[in-house]
Order: sequence, then C-alpha cells, then structure tokens
Amino acid sequence: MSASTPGSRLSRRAAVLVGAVFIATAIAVAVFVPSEEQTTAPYVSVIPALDTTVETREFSLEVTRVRLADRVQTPEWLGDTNGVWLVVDIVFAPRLATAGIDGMLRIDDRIYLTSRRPDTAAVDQGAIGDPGLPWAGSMLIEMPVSALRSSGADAAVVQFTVGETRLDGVLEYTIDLTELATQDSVTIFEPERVAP
Amino acid sequence: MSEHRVRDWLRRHRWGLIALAVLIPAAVLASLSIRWFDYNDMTSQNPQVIAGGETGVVERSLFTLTDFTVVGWDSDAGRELGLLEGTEAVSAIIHVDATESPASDEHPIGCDALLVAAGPDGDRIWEAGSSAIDYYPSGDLVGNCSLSGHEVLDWEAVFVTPEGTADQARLIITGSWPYRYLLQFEH
Repeated sequence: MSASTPGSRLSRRAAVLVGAVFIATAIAVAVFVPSEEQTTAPYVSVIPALDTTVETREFSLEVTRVRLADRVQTPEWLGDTNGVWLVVDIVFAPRLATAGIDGMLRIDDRIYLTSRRPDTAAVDQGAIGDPGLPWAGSMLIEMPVSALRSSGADAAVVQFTVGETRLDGVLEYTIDLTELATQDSVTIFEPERVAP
Repeated sequence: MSEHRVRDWLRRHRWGLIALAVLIPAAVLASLSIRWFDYNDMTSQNPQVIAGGETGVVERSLFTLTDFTVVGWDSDAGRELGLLEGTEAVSAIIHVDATESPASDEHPIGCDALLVAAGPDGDRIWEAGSSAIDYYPSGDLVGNCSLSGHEVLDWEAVFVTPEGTADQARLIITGSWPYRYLLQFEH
C-alpha cells in the first residue's frame, strides 16, 4: 500500500543529494574560509637595526637607543619602580593623518604595555604628530626584574602601532634584554620635533 | 527515462527554483547596499569646489577664503617662527557669515579646516592647529570655527606641513560630525 512510485523515489534521492551538497558546502566554508582574525591581520615589518627608518602605510619609525634603568626621571617627575624600566628612544612620524604612537613589549607570550605614568613619555597625548613631521621621544615600559631572566628575554619584541592595526602596518624591533646593562637612572625629556 | 523525470521535477519546482535564484542575490545586494549608503553618506569626500574669491554655502552660512599665505622655514618669517628645516607654515583666513545658521544651543554646529594632499598611499591630511605653533600672522583672528554664535567672523586656520606641500594641497572645510568634506577652496 505504501509502495513508493518511481517519481517519489527520485524526489527523495534529489533531496538527499541536495542536502549532502549543502552539508559539504558548509564544511568547506568552515574549513577553507579564513577566520576574521586572519583576514584582518596586520602587516608586520621588522626594524632590522638601530638608526634605521622603516615605513608602514600609516607611519615611519626609527629606534635610536634602548636602555634599561632602575629609575626614570623627567624635569618634573621621578619614576621609581619595584621592577625595571625599558626606555626605547624613537623618531616617529605619521604618514597619512595626525596620529600618536603606541606600543608594547612581548616576551614569549607575556605582554607589557607602554607606561602612562610619566606625562612626558612619547605615548602621552602630547606626542601626537602630523604627516611628514617627525618628533623624537622615548617610550617607557615597566616590567618585573624577573622578566629580564625569563625565557624569551633574549629575543624580546617591542611592537609599535598607530591606532587600529587591522589590515594596517605594525613595526617590530627585537631586543636581547639579557645583554643590556641596567643603569641607575635615565632622564627623558618632552618629545621634540626634528627636521623631516 | 530519468531525463524525463528530472525535467518533470524541475517543472514542478520551477517557481521555487526561480525564487531562490532571484531572492538570494537580491538579499545579498540589499544587505550590502543599505550599509553602503549609510557609510557613503557619513564619509562623502565630494565637497563643493569653490574658486578663489568665490563664496561657498554650508548650513545656510557663507564661507569665503580671503587669504592663503605660505611661509617657508628659510624665509625671515619662517626663521622668526622657529620653523624646522624642511617645513613650512600655512595661514588660511576664511570669512564666515553664520548669521543665518540653523545652529542652536541644543544643536551646535562646528567646522574644521584640513589641508589634504594626494600621496602614494592615499590622502595625507593635516589638521588646523594640531602643530601647536604660535603663528597667527593676521593678528588676533578667531582660531576656531563655530556656526553656533550666528555671527560674522574671520577664522584663521594655521597648519605646519613639510616643505612644498601646501601649494599642492586642497584646503577643505569639514563639519564637526559626521566627518565629511563640505567645501574645497582653490587657492
């Protein structure tokens, strides 16, 4: 009584086939379409050495000196710490629009952000620059002393960014923290404009 | 035999198949176009172009570029200003008549000035006043633009740019929000 006709068998086969195609497509999409993280990843460029200017689409940057210090001071501020300061002197210029520089230090999978404690640090709002008009200043990163002896300290990476990094340029500079001597005190000054 | 059945199946389901073929692309287009128009409205980069000496109208307010002065770092004025080698300062004076402006205390209307120059990686944009240079060669003119005071004012927008930029750059007046290019003055 319930014997199926050739037409309904064909419909069932077609439905199964269409369903299989949809499932296969869904699996292919899930496997092969890049994740949002992959499609919006920044373009990372490496600063190969001190005093070498490297450009991204958004900014250019040169690392001029790297120091470790127990204390950092400015004409108005004294920065004591239970840890240690990494002082990175840079020359920075936006390329397209008014912007400020930001950054962080990465040792293996540990991240240390730039310090906002001193008003004169280069990451402060006062250090915003205009296209093609560079300034020289210092970025400060505060970290525990133990970080200097941790795994990855011989290839710590300072990362420099301007605002949104998705699909935009990021610069990285590698430092061997184990080779740097720690100074008692380092004095830094307000970011200063320099000739283009 | 099977070809006949397939044709039969297609005939029976033709309206569903046609609907799929039409509606799926239509849905994709609709979802993209709605967002595109919103985005396009917010970021329109097609300002009115105003010839030198002419007057542009925005928000029932009149804007006229009355002076555009470029001072190089190696000029007497540039040395006096302490301009760094390779830079130049720009002063643009814009006469603004905002007496008919629709701005109110509840809906203030601001305006900003930009210098925009084409570059290999896109437009390069300098904002008036961001270089914090103490340069107002025309005296004590107003350094900020607002249409909320319903007044007539001479607004002086000051920029510092790399040498050789200003003469090729476009002077753009923008609304404070949304960020749109409203007027472009030829100078």
